[in-house]
Amino acid sequence: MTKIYRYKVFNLILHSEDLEIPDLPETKSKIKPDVEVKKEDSSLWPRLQETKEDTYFIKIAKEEIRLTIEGIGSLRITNGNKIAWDKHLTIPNRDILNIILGSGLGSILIQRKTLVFHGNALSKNGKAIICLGESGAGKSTLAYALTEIGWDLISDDLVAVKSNLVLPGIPRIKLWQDAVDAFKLDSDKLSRVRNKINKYILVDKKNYNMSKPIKIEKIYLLVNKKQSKIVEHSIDNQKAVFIGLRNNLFRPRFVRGLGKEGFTFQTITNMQNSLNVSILSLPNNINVMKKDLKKFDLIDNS
Amino acid sequence: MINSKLDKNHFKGQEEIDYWYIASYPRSGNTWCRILIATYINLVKAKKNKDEIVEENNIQLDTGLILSNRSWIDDQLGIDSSDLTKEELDKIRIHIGLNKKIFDDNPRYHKVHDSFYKISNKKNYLVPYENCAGVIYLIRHPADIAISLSNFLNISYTDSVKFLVNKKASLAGNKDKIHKQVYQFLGTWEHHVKSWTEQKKIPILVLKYEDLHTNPRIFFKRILKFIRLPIDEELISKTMINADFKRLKKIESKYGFSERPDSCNSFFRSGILGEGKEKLSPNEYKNITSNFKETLEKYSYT
Repeated sequence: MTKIYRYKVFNLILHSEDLEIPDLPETKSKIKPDVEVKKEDSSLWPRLQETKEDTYFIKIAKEEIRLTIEGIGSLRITNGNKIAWDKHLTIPNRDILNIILGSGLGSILIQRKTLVFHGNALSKNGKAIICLGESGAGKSTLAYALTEIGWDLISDDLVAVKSNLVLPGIPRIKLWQDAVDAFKLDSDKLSRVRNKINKYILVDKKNYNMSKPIKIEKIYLLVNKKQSKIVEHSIDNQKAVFIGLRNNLFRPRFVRGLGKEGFTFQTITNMQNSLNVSILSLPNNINVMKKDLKKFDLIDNS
Repeated sequence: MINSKLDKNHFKGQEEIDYWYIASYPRSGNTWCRILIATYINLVKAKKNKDEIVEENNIQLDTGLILSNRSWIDDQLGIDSSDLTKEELDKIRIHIGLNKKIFDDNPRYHKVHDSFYKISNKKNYLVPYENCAGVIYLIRHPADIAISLSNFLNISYTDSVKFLVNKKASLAGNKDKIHKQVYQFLGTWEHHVKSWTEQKKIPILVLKYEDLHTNPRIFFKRILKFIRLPIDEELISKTMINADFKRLKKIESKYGFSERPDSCNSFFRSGILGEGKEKLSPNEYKNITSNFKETLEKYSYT
């Protein structure tokens, strides 16, 4: 008998057949789901015509993204309402969950015409900030440090934005071993993202704000510099703001392939006119950063 | 030195040739070579478009990304490469960057530090080679590399020499943190040189950094001929001025340089020849020359 797990994420009701997703907030709501997650036999999926955005691993068609990673599994995300998955026999559920929660949900949001950034969002006193930056810029480290001083996490990894509001996303932070050690956390008590990978999942639902979308006050583009304190530089040049936001879109190839580029660029243009965007340089030393954050107002530093 | 012993079918489908490699052990003049090529290509374009040639303050490097660039790999994978183990990623890197349709706008000249080797299954190579137009392989005296590497990785000369003779040496190998590049296996300096110069999959032009440094004009012409770019004496002269080492150093100290790692203060150092013999201890120098005797003799390093 099929077991249905019910969750709410990014303001969507998600039903998962026989696959528990412990990272997501559960819901008791019985209403029809917006998104279904179910296992399928990927050998039965129809062949797709090759398109310009395809790679060896990604196939994109109208309202469809297909991902295949040899030896791990495949995902087929269609019409903004279904994530079908298949996995290699020896691969544990956790491994396919990672892909579902990242590129799977990201594709669903893009298909549903939602602007998605690669970063995280946090809130304090009902006001939200978004932190963007390339892998290794310090996004997750900053997010964890902020939750330690009273900020609520809205979303990590995927940041979904609608009408200058950030939608409540996945309530977990992923930290590498070096950050886990710097925060003096016991990695033996944490779950790894995957076996053999020294990246850990920190779930703290009490510091998670999932009630409703929150207005964005500020967007930070993070850079990691060798310096002794946190430094903020506001960006006044509109073109630089646009490029900064565009460069931090989640999976731009999916956006282009699904034909959502026009909508995305228009939404970014609207955002840049109404939002405050700054570059935030973080010190390398986590303890210095933690100390500095106590006196640095990330909502209003003007 | 151009390798003529290639697989028979290498040039099959030549119309699809669109990418080149500039490969080397780290700190062997790879970036300088890319700057020369990028500067020259820009000058050729400017002349063709009858644009005014102005002295720019930015360092031209727009040739194509390093083959190990994580963002570039993630874009083609559709998932985060940091969620894959080294072994899983090694298996699939051969498929990265091969989609002609994605990259047909400009020829690409990728920097490569990975050695050219077969992954653990002994069947597949790690570096993609299908339709690769050619590789410029740069060799530099390992004792000079030791000095430069010491600055680059912020390690002592002794550790730098240990790195050069280490059979398991790699870049971005720390599993406890995320790197902007993915893991790159180097092996010893000698292994690296042999892995590229003895491979039969890609046409190769082997150049000594010392020759390029001493007679840049002559050896740059060899590069242009190899990568099938037109020879324009006037533009070669301008390239020599724009990409002069002292000028690059000056620009870096004033405006910074995007490829400088956090571990070092300046990317462009002296580029001086024979620095290793002067600065390394006699034992350290001997350690290098006795370990790599065969290859040093082959390339007339005395």
